[in-house]
Amino acid sequence: MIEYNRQKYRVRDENYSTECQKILSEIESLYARDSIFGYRNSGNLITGLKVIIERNNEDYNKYYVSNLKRFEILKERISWDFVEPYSDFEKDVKLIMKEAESCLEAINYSENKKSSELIEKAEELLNKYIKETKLIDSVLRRQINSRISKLKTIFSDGSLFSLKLSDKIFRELELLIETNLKKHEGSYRKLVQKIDILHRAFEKSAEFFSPKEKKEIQEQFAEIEKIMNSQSYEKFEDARDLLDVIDVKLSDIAVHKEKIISGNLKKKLKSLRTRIWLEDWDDVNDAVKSLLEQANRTGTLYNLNLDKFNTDQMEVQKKKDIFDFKMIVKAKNYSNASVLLQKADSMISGEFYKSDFEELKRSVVKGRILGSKSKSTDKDVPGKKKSSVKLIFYSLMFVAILVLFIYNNRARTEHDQNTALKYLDVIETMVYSQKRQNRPVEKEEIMTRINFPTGDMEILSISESEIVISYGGREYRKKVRSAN
Amino acid sequence: MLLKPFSVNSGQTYKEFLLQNYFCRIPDKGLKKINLKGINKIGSANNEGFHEFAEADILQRSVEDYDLNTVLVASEEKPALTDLMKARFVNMQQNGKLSFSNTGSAFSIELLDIIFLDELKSGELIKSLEIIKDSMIFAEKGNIFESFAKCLESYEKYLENPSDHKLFSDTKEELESGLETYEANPFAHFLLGLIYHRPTSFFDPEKSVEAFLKSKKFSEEIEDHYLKALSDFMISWLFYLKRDFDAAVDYLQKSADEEFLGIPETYYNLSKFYAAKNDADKAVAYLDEAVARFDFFYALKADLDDDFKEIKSELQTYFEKLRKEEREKVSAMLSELGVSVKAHEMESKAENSIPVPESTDD
Repeated sequence: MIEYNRQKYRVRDENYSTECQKILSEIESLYARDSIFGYRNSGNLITGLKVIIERNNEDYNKYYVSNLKRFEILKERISWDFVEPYSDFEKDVKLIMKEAESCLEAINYSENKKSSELIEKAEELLNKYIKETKLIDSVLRRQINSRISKLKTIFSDGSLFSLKLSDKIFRELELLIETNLKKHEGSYRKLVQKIDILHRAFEKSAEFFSPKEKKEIQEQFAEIEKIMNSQSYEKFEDARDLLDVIDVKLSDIAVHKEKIISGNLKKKLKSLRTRIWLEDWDDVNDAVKSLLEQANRTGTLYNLNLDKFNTDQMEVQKKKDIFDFKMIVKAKNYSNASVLLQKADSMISGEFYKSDFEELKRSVVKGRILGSKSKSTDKDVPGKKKSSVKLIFYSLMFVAILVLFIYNNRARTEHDQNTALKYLDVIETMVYSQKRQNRPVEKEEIMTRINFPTGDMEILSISESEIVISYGGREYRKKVRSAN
Repeated sequence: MLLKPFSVNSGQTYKEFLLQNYFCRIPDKGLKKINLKGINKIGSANNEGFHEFAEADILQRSVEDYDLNTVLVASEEKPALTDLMKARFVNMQQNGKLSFSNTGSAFSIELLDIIFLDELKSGELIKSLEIIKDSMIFAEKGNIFESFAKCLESYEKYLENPSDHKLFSDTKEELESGLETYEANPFAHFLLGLIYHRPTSFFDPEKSVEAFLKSKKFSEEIEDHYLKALSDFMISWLFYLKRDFDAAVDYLQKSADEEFLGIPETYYNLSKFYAAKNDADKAVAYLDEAVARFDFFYALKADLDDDFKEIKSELQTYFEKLRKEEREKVSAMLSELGVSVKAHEMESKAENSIPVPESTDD
């Protein structure tokens, strides 16, 4: 005789059962014959049985077990006595539940399968009922409806004694309804709102989380949803705890986010210094400082950007100003045009105030550059001071005079060139030295250490990247070595 | 196919046994067991003064002709067993050449020549054959090798038509002539051993042993372990026929040592010879080896074999142990599926087990 372990052998459907029984009776005969040959030859039988049972188990779980579970949960949630006169909900759901139960009782997976749609309908009815009545907690719902049913029974009975009983039931009912309303309007609604807020906050900040953290939070939200579907005020407290955990994570990420956004903003701002006039930059900088303070205070990061400052327009304006100036200089053919143009070019990607530019424009009238009277406060903006290294100066002067006497005009030009190059080297060396010491370029200090021939040689600009001087009516440039 | 093996305890002479049992190979059609008419024709052609067999003289050897131990096979299962054996027999031939390893428990001594000639065309022995050929050519005996190759062909032809005694005789003559000129060809000696083993007028087990001993010796020289093991196998068989069981076991053990898994019949024969010696423990141990390593049908073969008569009860115990193991395996698989067959039915079945039927050939 065959014995079944129902934990493993879950053949419920009559069709599958018939198929299995055919094989099992062959196996029974095999055991009855009890021969080695029979046992060794039983492989195909057992494989056949295994295949059928596997197919059965799949359908068993899919069409019977899962639907039964849903049905049981639903039944539990509406487990009060339905007493006539039925409410609309009771009338509708009673019918559907009866049909669903009948489908599940059948020992046929096709019939069991039909219960799924019915259970879904019943669940929809219940959800609608909950929405209308705000009876989200199944325990309270059951308690309230049980009392209502009791009252219906009492009133249909109509005896004086039972009517007297109804008093107590009414009071209980009142209390329960009050409790439910308080919980629903109080903690439940706040909870639902908080879930919504945090969900949206998470979606916005999702990119700032690592994949692992993101998955964790998503799982926590899924858990919360599961809890909220439990229809139990008691269990909702667990959801609250989970929400607090998520809240903390989102707060941490908001701080991190803020650091990233403000960092990016500062970087962009810094890069603007060479692209717009420094007056404009100062204005933008002050405005950004206020934005950062505000963000720090309020936590809102959405306006931490340069969008409203029209910095593109400022960039374009600066270039246009310089371009227009260059056009005029070229057109008018000034004697110091090359110097002017070079200076103008250096302003395109240099840190300059517009006032420096205005001064340049004014120097056109005088025919020479008077020297920068820049208001720039940045340590990189060049200044002018004279300093002398007496030994170098006298040596250079001697060489200059000597060459003047020895060579003709061409030699003199060559001499001028050499001189200028030497000065350039010296200045470059000084600038390089400062760079190596991680000191900002101190033009004034450099200027004090060099004694130029007055009226002839002039430093047009000194920056970390380039030195420009003019001598003998020509301009000389030299790039400064990198300190790395 | 499963045939009752020859036993020195069966009461039949060996030559008579061989005369009653022929297989021949039909080209492109495979093996065919010769019927009574053919047996008599072959017997007459190959033996002067041959007395033809009557139907009643023929010893039935097929498993279908016997009641098997019900621990091994229930009577209702015999048709299924027969079908399975037929399928295996067809399969055996369809897979190309026969060999000792692919024949398994279906091997019977009358198939020996056919199997050997097929083995000569296999990878194992081809190499050695090439070595011999090269040696003979080197020794300016290339013509002798060619003669030997012709003998192989002739012998193969003979096996297709075993009543062609002239062909058989000429082959023997040529083979012996070749061996006189060049002695060191182990294959030639093996073939000669087979010739002396055949139930013809040349049947001579002693000469057969000598030939196989020489085959063994020259196999050792060319380090062909497989041919050496085959030679030991045949020598052991011939000693068994002389009832020298100790020598038979000795040679067979050497064969097993040389060729561990290549000749399954070695393990069965070891079991058989120990059973003939009444050494039940070793007989059962080697039978278990053959069953476990190669083929369950060796258990059926032992059930048919008269040599196991003297250790019937030990054999029965072994079969019951085997059955219990098989039953437990099946029960375990069923248990995984949530099904079990009630135990007490099995225990009562064990208590009332059907006694082993007596052999019908006494």
